[in-house]
Amino acid sequence: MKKELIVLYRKLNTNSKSRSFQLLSLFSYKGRIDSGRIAQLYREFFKSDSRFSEKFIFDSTDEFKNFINLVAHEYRLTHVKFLDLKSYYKIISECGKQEDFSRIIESIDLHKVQGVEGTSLIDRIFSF
Amino acid sequence: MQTPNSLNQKIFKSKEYFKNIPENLETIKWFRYWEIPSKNWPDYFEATEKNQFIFVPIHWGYHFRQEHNIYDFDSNQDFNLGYIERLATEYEREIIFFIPTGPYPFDVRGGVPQHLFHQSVDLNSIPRVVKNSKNELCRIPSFYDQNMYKEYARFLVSLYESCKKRKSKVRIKGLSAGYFEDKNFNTFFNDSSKTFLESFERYLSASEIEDVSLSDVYDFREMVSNLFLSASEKYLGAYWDGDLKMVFHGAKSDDILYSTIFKNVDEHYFHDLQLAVKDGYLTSTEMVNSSHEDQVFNRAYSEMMNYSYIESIVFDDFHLQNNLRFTPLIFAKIFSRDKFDLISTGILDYFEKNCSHHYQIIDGVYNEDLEQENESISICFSRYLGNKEFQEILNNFSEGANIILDLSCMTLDHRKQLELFLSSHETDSQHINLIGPVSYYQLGHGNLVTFESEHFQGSNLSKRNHFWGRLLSVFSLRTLKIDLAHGVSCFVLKREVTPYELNYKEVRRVFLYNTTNSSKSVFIHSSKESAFLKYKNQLSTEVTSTPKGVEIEMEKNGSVILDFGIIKDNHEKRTHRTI
Repeated sequence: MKKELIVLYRKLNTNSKSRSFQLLSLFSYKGRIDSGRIAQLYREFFKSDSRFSEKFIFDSTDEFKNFINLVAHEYRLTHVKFLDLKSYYKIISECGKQEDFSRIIESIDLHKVQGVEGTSLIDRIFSF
Repeated sequence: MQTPNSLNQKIFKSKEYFKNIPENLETIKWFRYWEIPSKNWPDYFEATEKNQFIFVPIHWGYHFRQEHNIYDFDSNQDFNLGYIERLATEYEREIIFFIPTGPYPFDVRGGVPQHLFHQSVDLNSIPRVVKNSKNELCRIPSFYDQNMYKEYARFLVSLYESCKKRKSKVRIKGLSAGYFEDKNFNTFFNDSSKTFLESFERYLSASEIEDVSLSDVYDFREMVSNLFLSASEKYLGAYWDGDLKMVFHGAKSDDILYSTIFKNVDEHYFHDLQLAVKDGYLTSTEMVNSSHEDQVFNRAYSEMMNYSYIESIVFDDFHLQNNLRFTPLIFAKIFSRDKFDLISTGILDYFEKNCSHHYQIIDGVYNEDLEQENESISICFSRYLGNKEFQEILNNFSEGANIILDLSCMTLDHRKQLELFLSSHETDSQHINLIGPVSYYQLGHGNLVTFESEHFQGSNLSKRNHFWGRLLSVFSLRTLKIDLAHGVSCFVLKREVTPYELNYKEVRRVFLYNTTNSSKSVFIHSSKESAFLKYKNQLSTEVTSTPKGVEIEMEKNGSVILDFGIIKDNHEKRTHRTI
């Protein structure tokens, strides 16, 4: 299995000048990343508590992608799959069974994480 | 005339019922009769066991006959509830009917009539769609549709008439399905759909509320949820047997994404099971794929949701003799009406870190019944303390209760009464300064510790942890010191001793489950306060008893149960405690 990070998020502001995002859920290939851990990473990323709320909000595309990169590096994940809420709605409404849903989710494009070596010697010796 | 209640009691008073119950029996069977043709119902009952509970959720939408605009429970065999009752009697099975006081998460449309269905979304706007044990996607409806309540009342009236007509002997419970979020039980009334918003707007307009606050939202949600409950009680009369809150594993909005990626159960199912046992909820695996391979979760589930536990929750008017049943081990009950008290004093952090599944948070001021032997510590805040609760604290203290009381915001009158009480009774007292003044009073077997939470402002986490550690050291909690590896799930329950165990105060049972695919080690330290008695049901696990403690080596998905006797406290030798 590829070392994937699955990101469920939603766009909060589609104004062409600024776009913000809310992170909804994160799953690594090993399991769900719980909200407590996400909160820790969020605090570390912004290096302060001032940005913290119960919702994980990012004020720009770059901010959001950099955070996801941080998480991917933290968990040594090589690929990321992004799923925005609007698409999620659409997929869910078209499916009656888990298998249909899984098939569509699996077909979503994977993005390679920058800077994480997927086939390094360390990874080959120690499987995570 | 036999009432439904007396019929249930007759069956369960027999001790014979509890003999030979297989330990891994799936104790709850859900009979989704609308999915099975009635000609196959006898086969269904035949395949069940006598010592299984058969839960029959009455499907509101299924009984609605749109062409005649009526509810039908009798005319056709396929939705004849009377036939289900007769089969239960014939096969000597105990059944419990449920009605949806909120959505049924295991049904593809939440159990509501088609014309009332509007998709609900959670507080993050994620559509509430979950997967049931048959891999069907189930859409959770919003209960805020403006016609919902009226239609629900009609459904209840028809149901009552049907029960009366066939002289039903089976009681009906309300099913409040939910899930744990941030350790709190949440129902699907936590909705933020368009249907909810429209309904909320109508409420604001009718109540003439102009400055809307978050508490208005909470009040509205609670009001609507209570409407369905009170309607159930009102219209079902003698057939109503109260509401049952049930946690459904796999019912969170993003659980479906998890199950897309992983074949084994999510680790949080174990946490939810621990929380449920601690706080007295039933849980259900109706949303978990029946063919999933997570045997270790299956084991944990059947051992926790066992027959006697379910019986104690479902039938609260019948109590099994205590020494037959393991109960949650609760060291402390924190009575609070305001989360601020819990966060600002650091008490939540302390308990989460040191005994995370052995405390309860109770929404209220103080209410403790000393008739049941109870050595747990009650922690209360004076902010909302009324005269009745205050008197109860003093009475219980004098009768041997363990209480920690925050004096901040206590009324002057109560402070004077407390001073008078303490000076007029022969209390031993000590006074120190930790974070603000702390006083400790002993009166017979009762222990009272007072503190002032207003001094916590500006104190750091480390000082707060030290504070709570000092306070709780007075009460000799006698925890088993368990070095738990990450990925091993641990449950600790207790029971009273049998006549053969009189050296001990109680028996504690430790359940260990390795939820990972790798080997794990656990060590339970020896102490003067406990004795290792036995272990059983070990699977892929080695147990070695040493003078320093018990070593447990667990292979992938291993599990084991260990019993410890807690040695009696010798009251004659009990010396004066210090804080």
